[in-house]
Amino acid sequence: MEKTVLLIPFIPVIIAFLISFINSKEAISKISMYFSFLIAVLGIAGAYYVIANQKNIYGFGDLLIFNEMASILVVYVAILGIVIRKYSAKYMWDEKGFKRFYILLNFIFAAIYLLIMSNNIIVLAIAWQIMSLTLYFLVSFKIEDKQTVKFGSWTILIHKLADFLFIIGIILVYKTFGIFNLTELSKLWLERYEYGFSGNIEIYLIGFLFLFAALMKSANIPFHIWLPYTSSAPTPVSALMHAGVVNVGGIVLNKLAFLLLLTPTVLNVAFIFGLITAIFASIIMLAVPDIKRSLGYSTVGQMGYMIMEIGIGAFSLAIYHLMVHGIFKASLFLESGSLIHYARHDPNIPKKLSYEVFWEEKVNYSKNFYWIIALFTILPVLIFAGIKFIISEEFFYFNTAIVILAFAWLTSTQLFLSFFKVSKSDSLKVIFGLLSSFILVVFTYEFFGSLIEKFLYGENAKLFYKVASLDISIIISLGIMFLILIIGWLFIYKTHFIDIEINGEKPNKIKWVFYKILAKESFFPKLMFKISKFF
Amino acid sequence: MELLIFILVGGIPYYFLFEILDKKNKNLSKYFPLFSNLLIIGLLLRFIYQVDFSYAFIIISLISTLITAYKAIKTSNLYKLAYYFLFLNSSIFLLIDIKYSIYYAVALIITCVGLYFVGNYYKNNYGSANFSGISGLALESPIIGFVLRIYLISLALYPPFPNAVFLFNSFIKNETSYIWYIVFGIVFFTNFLIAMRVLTNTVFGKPNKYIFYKDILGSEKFIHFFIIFLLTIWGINGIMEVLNGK
Repeated sequence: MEKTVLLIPFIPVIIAFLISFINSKEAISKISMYFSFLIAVLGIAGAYYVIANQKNIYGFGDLLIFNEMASILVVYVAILGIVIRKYSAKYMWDEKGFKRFYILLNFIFAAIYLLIMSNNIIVLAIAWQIMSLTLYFLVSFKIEDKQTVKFGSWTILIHKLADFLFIIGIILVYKTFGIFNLTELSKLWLERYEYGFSGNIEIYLIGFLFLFAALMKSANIPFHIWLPYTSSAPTPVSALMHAGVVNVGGIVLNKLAFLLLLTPTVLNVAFIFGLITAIFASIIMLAVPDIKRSLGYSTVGQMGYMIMEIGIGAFSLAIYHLMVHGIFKASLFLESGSLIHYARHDPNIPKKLSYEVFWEEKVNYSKNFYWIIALFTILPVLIFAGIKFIISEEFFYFNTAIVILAFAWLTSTQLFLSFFKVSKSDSLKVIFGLLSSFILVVFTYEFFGSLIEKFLYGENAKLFYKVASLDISIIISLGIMFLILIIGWLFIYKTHFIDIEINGEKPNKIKWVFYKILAKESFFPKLMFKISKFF
Repeated sequence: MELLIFILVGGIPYYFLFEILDKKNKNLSKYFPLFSNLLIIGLLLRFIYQVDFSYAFIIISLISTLITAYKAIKTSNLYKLAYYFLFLNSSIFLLIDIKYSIYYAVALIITCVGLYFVGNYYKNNYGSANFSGISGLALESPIIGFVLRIYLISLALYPPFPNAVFLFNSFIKNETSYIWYIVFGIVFFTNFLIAMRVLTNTVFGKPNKYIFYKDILGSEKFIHFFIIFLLTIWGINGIMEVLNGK
């Protein structure tokens, strides 16, 4: 009976098939919704079974599995699916190709479920590629728009490169270990690690192939350009893409986590790529004039964090991160659709709660700026230390989390600053809001992070941290955090005031050149235009 | 014998000769059946004589692949594209083992036959097999748009279609070397880029308001759907084969 859960990847395919014979828009959206509910119910039932019995569900000749990771992610994707389908019913009503949209939407969900529940590297590769393809068709949904099709071709180009690396990786895995089954492979990798086997050149090559494939799928720099430029896709597609599809890299690396035990260098490289992406994308986000593209860069930055977390061995934290980011980013995109709708009726900014709390007219340069920097650099450290002390049994057992949390906090401040005007940064309400968000982020990360870690990996979780071996001292990590906060804040402040003369002084040339590089997104779009010229 | 098979499966792009001969009347539609038959004969000879090719032959055929890719980018004629796709994959026919090279070739020919029929549709409805200027097919003629989309996905080496599946299976089942991966990379991307170029230029795009679009009906529709069904079933069968370790 419990094996019914394994039908989840096939239900969206059935929906797509049924939809293709129906012309009534109402019926199409209703059928989609009902079946999505069914998937969510099945997912919850499967999760309950796995948690209650502490046993995985296998089926289809061990090709599919419903395990701890599936019980978290399937439920998450299913709920996301319900929200997106519900929203799409109204949003897409007047669009051309309503039926086509729903068929493609169901296909991409089928691919996501198949990827999450696959217990075989061949099935994983098939799901991976089908996802690339359906994403391309969804991104290029407005096929009459030349620009949309052009940016869609960027997406498929980078995803095809990711497919290629992934396929080569799969072939090498089979040639090296002779097994397709992921559970058996994970056991084999763990055994090898416990016997003190360090990866040879082939295993390292496999690790790097999977890492780079994941970096491309998760839009990490320098493979990020496809994501910010897909904003012309319908809003539900943007929500799905930013909440679901870009997380695939993190999900796959989690599925192959035990392989990475044999390749510590791969984890270190992942950390470096994640770090660069997080910093670079977050900075570009502030400089890009287009609001939707700015949101795209925000996601790129978040994906950088996710890969960083994997790079330091916090695999389960990456899963938690992608879920949390997915929920807030999907809400953001769906809300943006509503906001545009509001704006069409009222040219003023809609007076929502955030507006009421943070909007204060004040355009003078703040003289208390240095006090604010001090406040923002010292307080988070104290808060973090306090929360760590309350929650953790081993105080500062894993101190690189500080760096990540510093970034997380910086991102949240950037969001506030982007949306609620930097010139109000001396407002007590803003400061209070930022600090509250930081406390909330730290607390939930610590609490849920450790909870998910125990659930997903149990005692093996510590092995990843050990292998990632980024064991820096508390003093260094606090120092890094302090430095990041100062640089971050200075930059944010300077970026905002770059067009304002302060005491009659204009910004110097170097700053302008730097700003120009950022505003032009480091010339990546220009390069992609040249590459995709013949499409 | 090696040299004969090498030429027959497209190791040397002999279509040049026909294109030169055909410069005046431009009636290229008749050559696709000829080239696909020559390819089958070449593969049958390879099967009968159990010929395995040296890397020197494969590297020469890679040059043929690249030349053909260049010509395929330059053309907007669907008949030409149908036989260019055969020559694009010549290095694969020589590289992989006989069983899979026959499977791969047959799958490729079936897909290209589909593309050839789409060329016929263009010729009958729009005067020639050229797709330039005939954009937005997916919006104005959704059935032929869908059909062409499937053929191009298959040619771009995406699963579950047999072209991708058999190529993958041959890599899994055989001993591979660096040259295998180089050939695989080149063929993988050339097929993909050319297929996607056609897709963005004719299936996608704004419909041309000066053209009266017509969709396929009746027997024509049945033939295309039968080809797609055949490809899908065969591809899934190929996936099951590798999963069952056969």
